[in-house]
Amino acid sequence: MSVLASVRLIQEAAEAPGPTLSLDGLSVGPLVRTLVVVAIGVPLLYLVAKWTRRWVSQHMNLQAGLVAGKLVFYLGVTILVISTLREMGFSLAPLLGAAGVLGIALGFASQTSVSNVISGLFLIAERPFVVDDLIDVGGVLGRVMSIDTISVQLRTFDNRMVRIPNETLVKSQVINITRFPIRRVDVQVRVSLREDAARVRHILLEIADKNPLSLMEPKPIVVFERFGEYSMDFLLGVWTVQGNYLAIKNSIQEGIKERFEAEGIEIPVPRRTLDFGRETARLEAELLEEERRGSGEEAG
Amino acid sequence: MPESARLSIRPAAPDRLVVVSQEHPFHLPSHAEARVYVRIPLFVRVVASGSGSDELVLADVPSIVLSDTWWGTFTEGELAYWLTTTARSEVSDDLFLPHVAMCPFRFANRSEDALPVERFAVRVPHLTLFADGARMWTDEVRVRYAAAVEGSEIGFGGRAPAESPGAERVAPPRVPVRRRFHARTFGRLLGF
Repeated sequence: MSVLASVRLIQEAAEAPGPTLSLDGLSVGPLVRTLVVVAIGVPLLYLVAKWTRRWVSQHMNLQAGLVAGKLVFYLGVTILVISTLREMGFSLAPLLGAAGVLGIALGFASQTSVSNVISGLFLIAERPFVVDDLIDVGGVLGRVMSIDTISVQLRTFDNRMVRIPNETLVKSQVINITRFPIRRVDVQVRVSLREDAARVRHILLEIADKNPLSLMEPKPIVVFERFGEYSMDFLLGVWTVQGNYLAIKNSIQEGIKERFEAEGIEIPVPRRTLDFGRETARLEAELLEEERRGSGEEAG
Repeated sequence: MPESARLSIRPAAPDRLVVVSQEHPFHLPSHAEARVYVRIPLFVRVVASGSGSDELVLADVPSIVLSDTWWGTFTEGELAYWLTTTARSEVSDDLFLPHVAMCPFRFANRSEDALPVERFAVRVPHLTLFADGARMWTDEVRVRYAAAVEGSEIGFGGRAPAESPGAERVAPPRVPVRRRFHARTFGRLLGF
């Protein structure tokens, strides 16, 4: 047999349809293969995605693991759909042909989503924050719950869920509050203009020194910031570890109130003079008359 | 509690690094060595043990409550205890108290500049405790400073100090120690 004849025989065998079951004239071979692909492929895909997420999380970080798992899952779904369509006899050629036109249309329609996906990759590479960090994005304060393909989800302290597109995060200022292990608590303190500023500074430093949550180093600081409208304004800065931020913020301010009261240091309140226009003179006269009557009764 | 159970009270070294703030800082000249002694407040451990070898630590409390401080930089480091004391060049009997252990330090300055010894870190969890009667000692700590980025080279004697060679070992290190390692030992962190 010539080589050409052999090749022709092999080609004809490959192109011949396989054995099929026939049920009332309906061929169910491809259907069975499709069901098998789906029945095996879907659970397998979930397992592979889960394993990928776990492996990447262990070797890199949780954030990268989440994204890797999702990428594997979506890729697997795409492969499964294509395989299923082929098994069911759909030709992909027209689809591929239309994909060019569809691609352009999808490109315009999904430019925001693609931008978010790419922004997500930048976030993974740069790592301005990770899951469980406390971040402030444009005034929205919350803990990072997940860093997904196109968005980041935060949980606010009052238990609301906030979804922020990755593109927004890349373009905005993000404050990571818990990135570093220690943090300074700043307390604004106002005292009366009559007080001794040096004595106030000394007392504030003592309060910080005695607070068990305050770190010895970095040392607490007191800064005389300004003369206010009715007060001398000080800033007391006390360092603590991240976990003690709220506790020390409460205890320091309580300590200040208690110590100022014990030392007789006045925390001023603003005073206002009210002017009622033409009525002012009449009201003043009435008040003076009442005072005069009141003092007259006391004397009598 | 079963009759075979025993409660014992034992000394232990503090569970965190201790930052010693010198009351009287000194400078160690280049290529010079110094041997100083620092008193470290101890912890008190209450341990329950039965007929077997298992032990349960019921309490681990400080004999003196030390303030917290941060040893490291603003971006990384560790929580430590703050101890204001004097590193002495000699020891005398009156310095020994029931709740403190005398820790001998040997500083060696291998850099080209004088080393200001104002604050230094004592890796206390790696210390072994010894008792010589009523005197508590730790093993010797050797610190070799060479202005290296990775910090000073630190080594622990593991044996009773030369001042009390017959002292009995009463507590192992909380954290087993390698023979030598590098860690930041000197410095201070400005707050603003």
